[in-house]
Amino acid sequence: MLAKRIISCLDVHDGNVVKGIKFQNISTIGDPVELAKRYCDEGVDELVFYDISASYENRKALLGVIEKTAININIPLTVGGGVNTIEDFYNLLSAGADKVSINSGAIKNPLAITEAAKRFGNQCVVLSMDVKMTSDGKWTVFTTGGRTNTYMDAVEWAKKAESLGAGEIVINSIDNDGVYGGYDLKITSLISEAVSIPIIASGGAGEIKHFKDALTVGGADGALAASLFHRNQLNIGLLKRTLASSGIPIRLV
Amino acid sequence: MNLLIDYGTGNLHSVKAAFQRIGISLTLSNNPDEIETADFVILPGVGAFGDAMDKLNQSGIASALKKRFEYSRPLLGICLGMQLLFESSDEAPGISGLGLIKGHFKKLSPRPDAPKIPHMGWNTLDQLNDNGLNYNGSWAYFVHSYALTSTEPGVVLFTTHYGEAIPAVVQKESAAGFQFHPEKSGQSGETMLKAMINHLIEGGLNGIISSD
Repeated sequence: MLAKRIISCLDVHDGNVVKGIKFQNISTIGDPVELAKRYCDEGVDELVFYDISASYENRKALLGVIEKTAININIPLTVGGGVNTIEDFYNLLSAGADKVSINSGAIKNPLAITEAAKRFGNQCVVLSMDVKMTSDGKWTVFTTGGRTNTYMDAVEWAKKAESLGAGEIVINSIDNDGVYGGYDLKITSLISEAVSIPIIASGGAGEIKHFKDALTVGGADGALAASLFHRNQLNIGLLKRTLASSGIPIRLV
Repeated sequence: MNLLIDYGTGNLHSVKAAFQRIGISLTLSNNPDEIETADFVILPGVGAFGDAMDKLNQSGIASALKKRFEYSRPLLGICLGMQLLFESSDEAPGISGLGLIKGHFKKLSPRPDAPKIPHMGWNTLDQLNDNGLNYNGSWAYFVHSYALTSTEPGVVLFTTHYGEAIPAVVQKESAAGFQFHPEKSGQSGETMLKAMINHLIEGGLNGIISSD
């Protein structure tokens, strides 16, 4: 039986893993290669590197970090952040990424999804979307770390991305990110029901129950967390054993 | 010499590194002569069936692999690389695969207990016949949207369950394939790789380590 996935996300900036709250107040946490290896040994199912560097030089540094990490781990690695073109996909996959996530690049040019899916297979094209509930009560897609409203409906964008060729969708709740209050179960389940590709819940995990809720009530195929793991607030082994004992299909190592 | 075929589908690092961890050094190659005669050859694959076959045909690698198989030299296909060992796929209608083994890949369709396509993530293996490989219950990382159907009897050694039984490990004579990614399947992936090499190669793992 297909296991539900526990995913650890590392925000990478200038070659370091960093964490900010609601995309602000960025602080350094550690070395990406070492952290990746540690999570791998602890039994995480998948890793995500999210590059929050802005400059070209830092992007090149990222490729080096991916190369070093990919040879040191034996689980899947997704890389995202600043992905716009087919060349970005090619460079990241060549450096050792298994999947590439595209976010605002796909909003600017939705056909980038199709082009990448045709060339590399839809299984390595991940659409990542930053979602926020606007004052009219609608889940809307934002860019630039939650500062720019695209006025696109989150569920409609997910359906469109699927039809364009995306193989997986990460739903990142900007409202819940970094505040440990739980995933946004409502938008996760709405999108999970609307598409037939895997859905990853992101943003807001603070305790084991939040993962359980995302994977059951939220209908997510995987649940992603970052700082919760980095700060040792929750041990991945304990999390997975607890989820497994509550009847959720989980890979135990 | 042990070769990892480089035909421009990206990401060969992790396959190379996984073999390194089990003590086998792989050399990247797109040279048909080398590919035909090397001790052991890995056909990786990330991408689409039609695109990959175009590249293998244009480069002459496809005919090298067919000759290699005729001479019973060991070959392991991983993920798309496994699919290419067969005749055809729904992914590329009208395009012929290597055809070393009879069989067609159909597009997976959503089922009530397996609603998401691709079949992406960790799943366990079920043994189909007594084949000397001890993979039963092992966790493997899958990422695919197409599954083998209607192949020759005895070719499928292990399946995984996702709405239906999906062929996960195949073998005919000197050609074997993993539908999952052993290089992404944690410790159990490395254990399965070792066992498959011992299974395919006379003299086993030691036979090809010492040949480098």
